[in-house]
Amino acid sequence: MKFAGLFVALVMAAVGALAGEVPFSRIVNAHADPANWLTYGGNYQSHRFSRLDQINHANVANLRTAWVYQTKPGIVETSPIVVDGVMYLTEPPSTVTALDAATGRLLWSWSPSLPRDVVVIGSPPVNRGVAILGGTVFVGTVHGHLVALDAVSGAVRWDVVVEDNRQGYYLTLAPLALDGLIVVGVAGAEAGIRGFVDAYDAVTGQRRWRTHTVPAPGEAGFESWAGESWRTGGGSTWLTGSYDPKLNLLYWATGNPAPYMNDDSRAGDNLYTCSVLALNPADGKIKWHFQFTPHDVHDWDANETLVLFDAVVQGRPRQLLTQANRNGFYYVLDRENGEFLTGTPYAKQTWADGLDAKGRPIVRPGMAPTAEGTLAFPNGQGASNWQSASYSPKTGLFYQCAREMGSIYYKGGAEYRPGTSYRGGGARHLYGEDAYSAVRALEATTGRLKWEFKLMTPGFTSLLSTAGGLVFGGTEEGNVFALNDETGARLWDLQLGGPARGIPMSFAVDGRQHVAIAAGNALFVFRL
Amino acid sequence: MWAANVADDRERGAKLFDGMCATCHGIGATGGSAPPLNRPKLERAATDDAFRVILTQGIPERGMTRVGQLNDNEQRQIIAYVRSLGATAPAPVRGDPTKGVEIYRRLGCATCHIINGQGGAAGPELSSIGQQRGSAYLRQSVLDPAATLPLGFSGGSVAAAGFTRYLPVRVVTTQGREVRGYRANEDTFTLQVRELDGALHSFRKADLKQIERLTGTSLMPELVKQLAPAELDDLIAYLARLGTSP
Ligand code: HEC
Ligand code: HEC
Repeated sequence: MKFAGLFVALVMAAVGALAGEVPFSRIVNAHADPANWLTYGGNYQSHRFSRLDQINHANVANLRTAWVYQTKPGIVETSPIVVDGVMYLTEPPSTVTALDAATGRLLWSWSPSLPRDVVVIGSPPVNRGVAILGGTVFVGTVHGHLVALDAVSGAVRWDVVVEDNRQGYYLTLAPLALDGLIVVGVAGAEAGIRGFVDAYDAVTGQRRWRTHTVPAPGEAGFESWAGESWRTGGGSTWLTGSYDPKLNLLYWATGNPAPYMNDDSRAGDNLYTCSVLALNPADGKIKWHFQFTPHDVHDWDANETLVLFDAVVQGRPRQLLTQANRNGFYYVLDRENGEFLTGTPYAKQTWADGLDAKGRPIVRPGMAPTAEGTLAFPNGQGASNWQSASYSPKTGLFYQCAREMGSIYYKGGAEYRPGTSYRGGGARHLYGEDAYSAVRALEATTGRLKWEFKLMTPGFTSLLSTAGGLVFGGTEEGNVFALNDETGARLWDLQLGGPARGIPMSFAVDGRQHVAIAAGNALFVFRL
Repeated sequence: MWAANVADDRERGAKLFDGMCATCHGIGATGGSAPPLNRPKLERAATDDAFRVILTQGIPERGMTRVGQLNDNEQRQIIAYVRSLGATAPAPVRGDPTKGVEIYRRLGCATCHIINGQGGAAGPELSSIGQQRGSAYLRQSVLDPAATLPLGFSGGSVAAAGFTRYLPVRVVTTQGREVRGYRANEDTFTLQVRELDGALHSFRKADLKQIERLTGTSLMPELVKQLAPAELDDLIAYLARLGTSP
């Protein structure tokens, strides 16, 4: 009897210790916990920077494969999370898998039962990762659900419908966990959805607020839409946002207006598409907005990494938000109030003659899509896209893979039918010997190019920078590489046998630093 | 009413086709680097359903990239347009394919090309070239090989869509060794070069002091210069028939 009682007490004590739990405060202090990767961007500021320096210039050439995990077929764009020796990654289309981070051995795997006719218009059916809060893992699915899974067992704690997938709403992003809240956005502007950012109670799954990215009649910004066009106005929110714990502001980017290449029905700036919104996490109210591409006609979603850091700009200390936008410009904003500070092209662009003092593009005439086709740069997939940028506090550089390629943009017909393509045209991408991409290191406060490293193919290369002085990434041809963060010199590379679309991250188990990146249908993990 | 709609569909289909398909299939679908589609019977698109599958999935392993941006309406319009072109049989390719076989043999094309399992492998396999390419393109590819190097596609030997296959290259190693051949593959860090005899040379780019991409040239000799126009027609008629059902 006494023995049994002691046993229960021990188990209770162990459960009470809550191994692998991630309270909000732990994510806020992610910089103090470099062995773990607790949120999509590595920290709330989306730096995708690891403070681990065990792998460095001197030894990176000795990296070897620690383990490989084979995923389900499809395109793998996941950014794993690692907590106290457990890795959580996602597999296409919406599977969550927990692995022993030291060996890659499976702990559990969960897949939603997807309807046969799931509507995914606008991207391949991918998933970019999970969020973790407390002892629960959160995933968005291609059929428009947000699901909470027990981190130890993979059992479902709750499962809610974010929005009707038959209308074209679907989720590919890693959710963002705040204090008791799980924040998500949706994809589907190519099917004419009306975008929003949602916040859910992490414990119950109840929706706390929804902020539409396209205002309804009576709301500010509604006047920027002609007629009824706002109803199907797009403004997807398909990439994880960033958060400033001190200002308590949530930053979320928005995508293209719909239909993107036929703008006949939607005269006006089309707020808040192709913008960044600063939201109050308590109620979702918009504190400020900045629109990168008013009245977009090229599919220049602003859903790229929003990097937060503080620096002195033009002689004044500033709290900054920066982004290498899909439209070809690098933007520096004051994240307290949304003030535009500077913007400069970081890739070839032909659609604007620059930005005015307020950051509004001076649109070059004759660059809009036509029935016959219009050549413009960047291409329809953008100078940047979903691929993660990285910011190194060590170098003060913003690392971005820039895609150098044009497209012929066609304007076509646009009739809205729920759950079908509502693009109003298309883009033919100019592949070939002249198209390429490059890892560019930009001075983060100005966008000035410090160095570049050319990659053969315009792919989707996400980057990780580390305290070891390295920048990791992969290529569309299947290479993984490490560059010198100050000079861009190649220090290590390896062919992985499939396009490296994974988002690199770093963690430590048993005191050893690891670097993980997916390529083809496998996750590769390296260590010394 | 119905007739007007059909005509309307075709017209819209033509616009879409010229924009999205003509770069490969030619304006009016008369053929280019991709086969003509103005034929009464399309083997891979015999039914409208099969055609729709091609439009949504492409034929990536054969060089047709996915055209995933079309909605149901646009698909219907394109199909209506392409079918209308096939309603009247196109002018047959000039020339006598049986005589073409003879010319192909005489000129020694088979030293570099495999047809139905026979021949050398220095150039691309031609077993179904008639299904893959239009006859005007075939004519140009023997008259002026350098102007029509085949393009790669995902799953092809060169990493991604649009890179040139069989691109002649000349490289010089840091030790001063020179190698000429064609690019078998390439990535950001390495280069694979083959000589016409099949010998493979693998390089790390860091070990090369020079990489010359000889664009505008081809390793295929211009063998047909001395052919009479009728003989050239015969040869093209033969090539155009390869892989198509008789
Ligand atoms: C990148 C070049 C490219 C583009 C662009 C392209 N195609 Fe193709 N297409 C090809 C090739 C190559 C083939 C031949 C595949 C084979 O070997 O059978 C083909 C085959 C086809 C076929 C099957 C023909 C048959 O004989 O059954 C159809 C139908 C077709 N294409 C329609 C289209 C349409 C419609 C478009 C535009 C929406 C289009 N293609 C765009 C390259 C292309
Ligand atoms: C010395 C080797 C060689 C010989 C001999 C040769 N070819 Fe080629 N051929 C090539 C190479 C290499 C290519 C690919 C580069 C190019 O398209 O120019 C090619 C390409 C082609 C193509 C285009 C294939 C495509 O997919 O685009 C055709 C058609 C062709 N050859 C026909 C012929 C014919 C007909 C002959 C005989 C008159 C011939 N070749 C003789 C090497 C050769």
